[in-house]
Amino acid sequence: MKAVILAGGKGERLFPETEFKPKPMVEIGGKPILWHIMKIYSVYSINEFIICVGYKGYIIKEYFANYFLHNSDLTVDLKNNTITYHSSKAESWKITIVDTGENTQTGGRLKRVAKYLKNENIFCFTYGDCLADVNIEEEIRFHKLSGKKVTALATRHPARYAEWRIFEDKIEIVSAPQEEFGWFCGGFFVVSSEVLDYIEGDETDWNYVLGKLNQENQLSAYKHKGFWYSLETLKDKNYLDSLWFSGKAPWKVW
Amino acid sequence: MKAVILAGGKGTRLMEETVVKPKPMVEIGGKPILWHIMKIYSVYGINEFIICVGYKGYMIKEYFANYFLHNSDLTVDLKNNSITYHSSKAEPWKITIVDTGENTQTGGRLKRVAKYLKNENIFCFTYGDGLTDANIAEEIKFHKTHGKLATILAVQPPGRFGALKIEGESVIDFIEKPPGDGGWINGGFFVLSTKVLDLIEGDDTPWEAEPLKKLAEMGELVAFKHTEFWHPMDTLRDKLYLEKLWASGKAPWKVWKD
Repeated sequence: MKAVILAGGKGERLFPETEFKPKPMVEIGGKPILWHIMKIYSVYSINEFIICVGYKGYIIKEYFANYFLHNSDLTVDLKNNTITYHSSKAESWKITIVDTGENTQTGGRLKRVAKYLKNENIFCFTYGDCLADVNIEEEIRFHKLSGKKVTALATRHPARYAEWRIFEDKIEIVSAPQEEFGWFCGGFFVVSSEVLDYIEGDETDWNYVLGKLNQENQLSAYKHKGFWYSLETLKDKNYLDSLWFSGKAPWKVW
Repeated sequence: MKAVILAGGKGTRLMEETVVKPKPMVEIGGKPILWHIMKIYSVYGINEFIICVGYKGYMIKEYFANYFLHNSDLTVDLKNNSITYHSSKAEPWKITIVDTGENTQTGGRLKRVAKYLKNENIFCFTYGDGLTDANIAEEIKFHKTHGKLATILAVQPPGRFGALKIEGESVIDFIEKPPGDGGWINGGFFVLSTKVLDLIEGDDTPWEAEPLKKLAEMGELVAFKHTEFWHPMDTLRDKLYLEKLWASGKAPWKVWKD
């Protein structure tokens, strides 16, 4: 199965991290968040990726084209102009990188890679800035059983702020109030390929497509109560970094 | 025929963009302005380029060395460490990139690539920051007809400031984009005989100083007058203006087909 990952947005809220790189290349623990997402899929044997790039897409192409240069120790022999890589931490990934335009909307980007999904009945689809400890295999099974066209990961709001419950005589500070909120869409979709026909063109927002599918009762939610987090601001990057370096990053299922 | 393009300058007036890249790599519609200039030449069958680099020259080398990586969709197979390019928008270009020094003057840069022009009688020469819709084939024909050593594209740049028409103390008219004041300026896009290389002393010689003056004195410099589109990219304002033209789909210098 293939996974399509959106990696074309500007990520302006993460400035200055995104001045020279697109948001999915912002690093958590020294690796792009995009790499972390791919590692999650890889645990569930999904090793074929289609990356929709746009803003500063070359940085993403360059990273994967020179993957060993980025990730291995090496010896350069200038006499013969040869390079020997020492630790080849090879992933068994096949990564197709497609320029889907600078200003294309999320649905439009998916439509633009349709030709690489021709032989697929279902595929995975997600944003290049969300991490979760979701069991993708279970979600795919759930999708198949649901008989609907799209399954979305339904997640709780991550606890970004402590909640203050204010009473007459005291304040109760609740540090992880997430269960108080409802469900929302956390990416990590499983999509049946006929959904591509719902997308009109470059201007189509994926959320619009989801709304339309919902009207037709073709949208199902796979509830996920575990870890989910999106990289929006520098504060998020620092938080995810700290989780990673603590050695207890919940999304590190590999 | 070969075209020599100057791409070594610092472009300090475009500070916002050129901190990280040399000026000819500043992009219009997602492609370096240098690429646009080469596309113009290519329309007239000129596909061999000599790029004189200096400031941040590695970025220019890297761009052309990895041209497909920059311009095509691709699949990387990490298992075999192989890359497949999908749409190969190949140009029939042969591009020689020569380090002509960090602080060399324009004439000096041209002199430094002389060895790549050994077998040429005439060649094209231009700056890495100016765009035009001038017909280069016509210019070359013109050059061959007059038989002199150098042809220069003479242009009348558009005024940069709104012009006031004043009578007494009253402003009687305001012109937003006034045409130039009628003066002709150096628009680059030269056609040159290789003999002009002998007029350049060394690294410190600006092309616009002794060599061009000498040629004019000798009666060997001829103007190919061009009254249509010509625009330099000197400031961020120019870049935004050119970007706007490109996005409109009516960029006058886009004389090539997709």
